Amino acid sequence: MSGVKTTGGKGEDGPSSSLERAKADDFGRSISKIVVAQICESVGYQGYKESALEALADISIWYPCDLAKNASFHANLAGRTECNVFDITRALEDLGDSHGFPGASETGNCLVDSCIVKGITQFVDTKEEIPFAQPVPKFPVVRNEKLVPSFKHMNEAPPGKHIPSWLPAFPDPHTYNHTPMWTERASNPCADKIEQARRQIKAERALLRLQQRFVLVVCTILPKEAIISDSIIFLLIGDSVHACYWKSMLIMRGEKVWHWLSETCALLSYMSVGFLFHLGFTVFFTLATVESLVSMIAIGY
Amino acid sequence: MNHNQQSNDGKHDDDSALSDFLASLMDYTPTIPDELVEHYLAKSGFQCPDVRLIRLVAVATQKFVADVASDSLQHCKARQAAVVKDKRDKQQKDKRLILTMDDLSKSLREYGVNVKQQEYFADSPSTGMDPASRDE
Repeated sequence: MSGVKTTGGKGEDGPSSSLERAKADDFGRSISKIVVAQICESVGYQGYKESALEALADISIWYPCDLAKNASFHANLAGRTECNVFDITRALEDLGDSHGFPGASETGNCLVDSCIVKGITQFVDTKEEIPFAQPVPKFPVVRNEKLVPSFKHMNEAPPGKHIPSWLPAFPDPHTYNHTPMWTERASNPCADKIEQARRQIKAERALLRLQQRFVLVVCTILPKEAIISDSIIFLLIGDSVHACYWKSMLIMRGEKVWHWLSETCALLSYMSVGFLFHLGFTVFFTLATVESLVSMIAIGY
Repeated sequence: MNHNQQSNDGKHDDDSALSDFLASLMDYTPTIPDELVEHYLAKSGFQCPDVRLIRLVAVATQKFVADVASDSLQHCKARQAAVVKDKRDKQQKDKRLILTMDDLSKSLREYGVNVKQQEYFADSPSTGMDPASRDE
């Protein structure tokens, strides 16, 4: 059976219906819609409008609920909790009063030969069986809840004589006791040290690059003797870094380096001092370079 | 005495008819599945371990819905017959029987269920009025 979406009804909004949250009774309602569609097809319909089908599905849910309420009311009236066939027959008669059925006006007649039940019997005999299209699982699904264990279960004595032991136990004290909080420090000492070392390395690198530039400019014109004398001066005062620089400069120029000079340089490089020491001797180095230049001019290069 | 016996026999017949009917319900599979009916009966406070009574409720509901559907089908066919009388060309087009809200509300009104829909929706209170009166 095909469905025709209405323009005035609820059927046309596809995207917005997907945004609606699933309600609790959606499963039952959708099964009822299929049931009603099957019944309408058996009656002779070839199509349906969505709004009309939903209205009829609502009624197919409301009818058995009303019947059940009525039947349980009659059972309670008779002093029973469980309903029997006569309670249902009375409930059917109550619901059928508005439409009318044969024998409605008679009072005091036996429920066994109620005309409504006869009508249903006739319906069952004449109408062909239309089983539901798909198998339906038992619903609603019951989940086993994890209950809080009782005092007796936990082998605890309830704190107070007024509390019976079959009640659920109190939560453990660690869940509600107030404990001192760990104070969070704003600064991170490891990160600070790393940052400091990084800055130091950066400054040293910048200084070394500056020195290299000086050296490259100077070493192309300075004589070998001047370079060696300057490196000895540096060694004597303990500035291993500048001594190493002189050594590397000599190597760059391809000149033979005295073995002992290189060894001493390597040894002293391990004993290098700090940044300020290097800065101080940059000044000294500049002065030494100037002195060498002066001496060079004086010698007459 | 005779009258009593006759009425007793009548009652026995009725009893057997009822019990036979309930027994036959076990063979008959109603369109409404048992699980669905059980769910809604439990929701409403109906307590019964007997499967036959649940089948009885299912069959009663099926009969009710089928009656409503057949009544609305009569309305639909009557409407189509009235239209076909005027225009014979559209006979082919109106062959399909569609369940609509109009037919359904008409048939449900006889069963005491009021399902009324708006005839139309208007944008403002003055929609459809004469322009002269609207200006006022």
